[in-house]
Amino acid sequence: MTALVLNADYGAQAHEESGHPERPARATAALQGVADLHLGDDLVVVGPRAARREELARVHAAGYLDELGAFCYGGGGDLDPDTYATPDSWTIAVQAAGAGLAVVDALGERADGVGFVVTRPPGHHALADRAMGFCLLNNIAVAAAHLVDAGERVAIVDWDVHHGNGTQAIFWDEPRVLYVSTHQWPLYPGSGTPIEVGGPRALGRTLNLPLPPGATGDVVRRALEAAAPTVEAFEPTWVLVSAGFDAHRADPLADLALSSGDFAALAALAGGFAPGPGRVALFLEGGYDLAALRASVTASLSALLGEPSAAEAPTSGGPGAEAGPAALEQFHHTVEALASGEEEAT
Amino acid sequence: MTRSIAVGFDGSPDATRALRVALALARDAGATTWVLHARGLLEERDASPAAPAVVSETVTELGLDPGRVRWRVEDGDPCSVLLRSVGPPVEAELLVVGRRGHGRHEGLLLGSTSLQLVEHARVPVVVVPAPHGE
Ligand SMILES: [Zn+2]
Repeated sequence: MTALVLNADYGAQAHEESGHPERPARATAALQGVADLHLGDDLVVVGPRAARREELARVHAAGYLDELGAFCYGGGGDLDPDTYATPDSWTIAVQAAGAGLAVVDALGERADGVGFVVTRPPGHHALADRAMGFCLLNNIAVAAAHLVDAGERVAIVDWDVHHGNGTQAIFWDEPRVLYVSTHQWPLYPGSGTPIEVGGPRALGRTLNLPLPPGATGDVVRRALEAAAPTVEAFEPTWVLVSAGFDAHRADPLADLALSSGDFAALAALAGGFAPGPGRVALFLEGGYDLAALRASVTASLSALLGEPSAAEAPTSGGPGAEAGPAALEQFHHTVEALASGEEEAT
Repeated sequence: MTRSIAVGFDGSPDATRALRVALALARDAGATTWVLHARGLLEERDASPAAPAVVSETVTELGLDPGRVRWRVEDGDPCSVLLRSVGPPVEAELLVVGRRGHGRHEGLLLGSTSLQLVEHARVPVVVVPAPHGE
């Protein structure tokens, strides 16, 4: 069977704020979800490594990196109403970004396996020059930029319940990265509409599939299936997944209605976009109900590894059945309109 | 001629100072004021919070037409919400914000909505400082 290539930051306990839902127990729950797979020798643990400054600087502004480090070492504090940093957060965030690089490199060397990066803090809201939404450094963007630098074409599938505004912004005008997101809308961070399709050099490289509160697994699945031709036409050489599990119905931060079994279906879909073995990695983003997180991790990884799992039954019948296909239509319409506008302008 | 002014409002004393400046500017310009509350990740989603009493009190105190002052709750962080307000429906031509950021570190860009706005906004930004000594 396929190996699971894991990198988990066991030292992230020092990134914690009393009462905050983005807490160390989340990583523990995700790792319990891995343990529940009973992989034995098929579990390959990659050692920790810090992301180097030049690796971070591919996606983050140099001034931001300096300031974030100084802010943390100076004692930390609140970066916005949602986002905190402790004196240890800089070191932890750099390890989290490095963990993704280590997993991607290990997968590349093995040319086999499925990657799972269990790190905190999460990353997909972090902008080039701003922390927000619990995120300090954009871990998945750092890994994607690393791959792009090596000549790869990276599809990022973001099924976290929140729109990954940071990842979208970082690759807004980068034609070698395709960003596809399913998310609840309206919801924080407020971005992620289908008319956001990428910059002039990368028209159609951002695809947003907003879904209404209450949407069930079939609705999210249908949206991602609708995106499949766009992903296939992009011909990715790698697939990275912003795997948040806060679309689960038990999650306290949002209102989608997925079960753990639904994440198995989403993982199978995302895995199907990869061109071959050793080319897909999941990055932990959100997920704030510990039991749901644990079960959803097990279900997602089982699907990718081709293992059976006893996940909750998939859900269906929620609102928004047409939301995905409708968003896709609006996306195509916007891309065409902008492309013809570009032609007229030149 | 400024027709629309957006001010970030989180209920803090800094925000209240910014609100007063925004309303005074709007009164002089004959503009509509949009009082924007950024709803973060940790806030209750079911209920859209109503405008705090201090907003209507300040409107009355400054003698503004309440019909020209709009309260709006937007999902996002304070900086993104204000940056987005230059687009519809607010179409702000001027942004007003209190200077005190959330960070403990004065002078650092980080955690300071005002400095981020000044760096990224496409329209003029008015930054309202905290009173001397605070
Ligand atoms: Zn999330």
